[in-house]
Amino acid sequence: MTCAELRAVLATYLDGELDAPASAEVERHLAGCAACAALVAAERSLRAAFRDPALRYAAPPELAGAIGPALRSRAGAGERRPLAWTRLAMAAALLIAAAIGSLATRLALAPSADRVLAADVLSSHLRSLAGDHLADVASSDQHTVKPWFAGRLDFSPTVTDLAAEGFPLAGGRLDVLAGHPVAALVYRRRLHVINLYTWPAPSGGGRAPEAESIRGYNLVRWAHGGMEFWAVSDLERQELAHFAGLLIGHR
Amino acid sequence: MGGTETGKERLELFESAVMPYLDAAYNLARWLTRNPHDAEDLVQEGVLRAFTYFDGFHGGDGRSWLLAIVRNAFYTRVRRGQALGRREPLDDETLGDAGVRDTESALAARVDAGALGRAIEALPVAFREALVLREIEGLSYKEIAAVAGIPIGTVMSRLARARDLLRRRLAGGKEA
Repeated sequence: MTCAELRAVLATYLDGELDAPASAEVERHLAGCAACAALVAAERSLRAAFRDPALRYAAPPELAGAIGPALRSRAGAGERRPLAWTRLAMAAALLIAAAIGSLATRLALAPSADRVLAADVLSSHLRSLAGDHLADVASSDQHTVKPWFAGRLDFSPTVTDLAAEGFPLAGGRLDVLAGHPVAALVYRRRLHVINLYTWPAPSGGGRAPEAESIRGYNLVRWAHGGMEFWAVSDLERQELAHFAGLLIGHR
Repeated sequence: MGGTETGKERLELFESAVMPYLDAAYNLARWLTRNPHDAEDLVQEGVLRAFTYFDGFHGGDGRSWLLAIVRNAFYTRVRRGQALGRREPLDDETLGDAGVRDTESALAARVDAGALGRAIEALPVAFREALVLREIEGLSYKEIAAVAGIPIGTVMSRLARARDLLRRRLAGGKEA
C-alpha cells in the first residue's frame, strides 16, 4: 500500500469501517512509514477531542417530565387523576434516568457483592484481551456458537445475531465468575471488543439495565428471561447501552 | 404491534424500546437547532410523533428509528420557516476568532472542547448532522445512512467534507 492509497482509506480505517484485510495493510504501512503514522496520530487526537463529555448534550430532566404525561394522555390509558399523573411522570423520568443517565450512582450504591462481581467481569475482559484466549469457539454464526456450549455448561446461553445492527458475533468461550462457570460471548463493534457474560439469574426475575464505568471501561448489567447478563467493553457508554438495548429487544 | 394490546401495554413497549434513546435524540436535536429551547421542543414533537407511528416500528434499532423521526421533524420545521434560534447557514460561514489559530501539530496536541463545539455549530447542517452522529453519537456509516435517508457513499463524502471544513476552521483558515 502506498502513502496515497493509505490516505484515501484513512478516514474509513479510523472509523472502524474498513474490512480486516485492508486494515491489516494499513497497519503494515503505518509500521514502516513515520509520515503516515504522524498523520494518523493527529487524526486520532482530533477524534479523541469529540469524546469530551461537554460535547454530548443530555436531555434535561424537565423534558422527560413533560413527555411522560403527554404520552400518557395520548395513550388514553385513563389515568387522568393529577396525582397519578405526577407519580407516573416521576416514574417515567426515573426509568429514563435508570436507563441512560445516573446509572453509575445506582450501582455505586448497590451491595458490595455486585461491586466485586463488576471488578471480576472487568478482570476477565482484560484477561481475554491480553492473551490470545478471546474465544474457544471462533465463529460469527450463532448456530455454531450456541451448540458449542452444550455439554460444557449446565445451561444453554441465548446467542443473538446482531451483525445487521453493527455488532458482529466473533465467538464464545467458557469463563468463571464468582466461582461459577459462565458463557462468555464475544462481539465486535468496529475495532472494539465486547465480552457478554451470561448465566442463569439466581432470582429468576428481570432486572433493568444498569451501567457503570471502571477505569475507562464501561459495563452494563441486566437480567431477562431468567438469565443474568453483563456486557463489558472500552466502547463509549451510549454505544454499549445501545448494544444492551438491542439484546433486550431481541428476546 | 397487534391491535389487541391496551394503550397501557403499547405505552410500556414504547417506553422500553424507544425512550432509552431520549438523550441521543436530544443530543442530535441540540446540534441541529443549536439552542436548548428549540431542541426540547423538537424532541418533544419527535417523541410524540414516534409514539403516534409506533405501530410502524417492527422491533430492531429503536435509536436509529427515533433519531430519523427527530431529524425529519427538524427539516419539516426548517422548510416551514419556523424560527430555529439562528439562521441556518446554507453554505460555509466564517467562524470569527473561535478557532484555535495554530499549526496542525499544535492542533494535534490539544483541541479545546469549546472551540471544537463552536466549529461544529458553524458547519452547514448536512455536514454537521453526519459528523455529530458519527463522532459524538457513535453511529456506524450504515446507521447514519438509515437516519439521514442517504446512501453510505454520501455519508462518507459528507463526513470527509465535514472533517475538512472543521480542520480548516480549527487551524484558523478561512478558505474552505
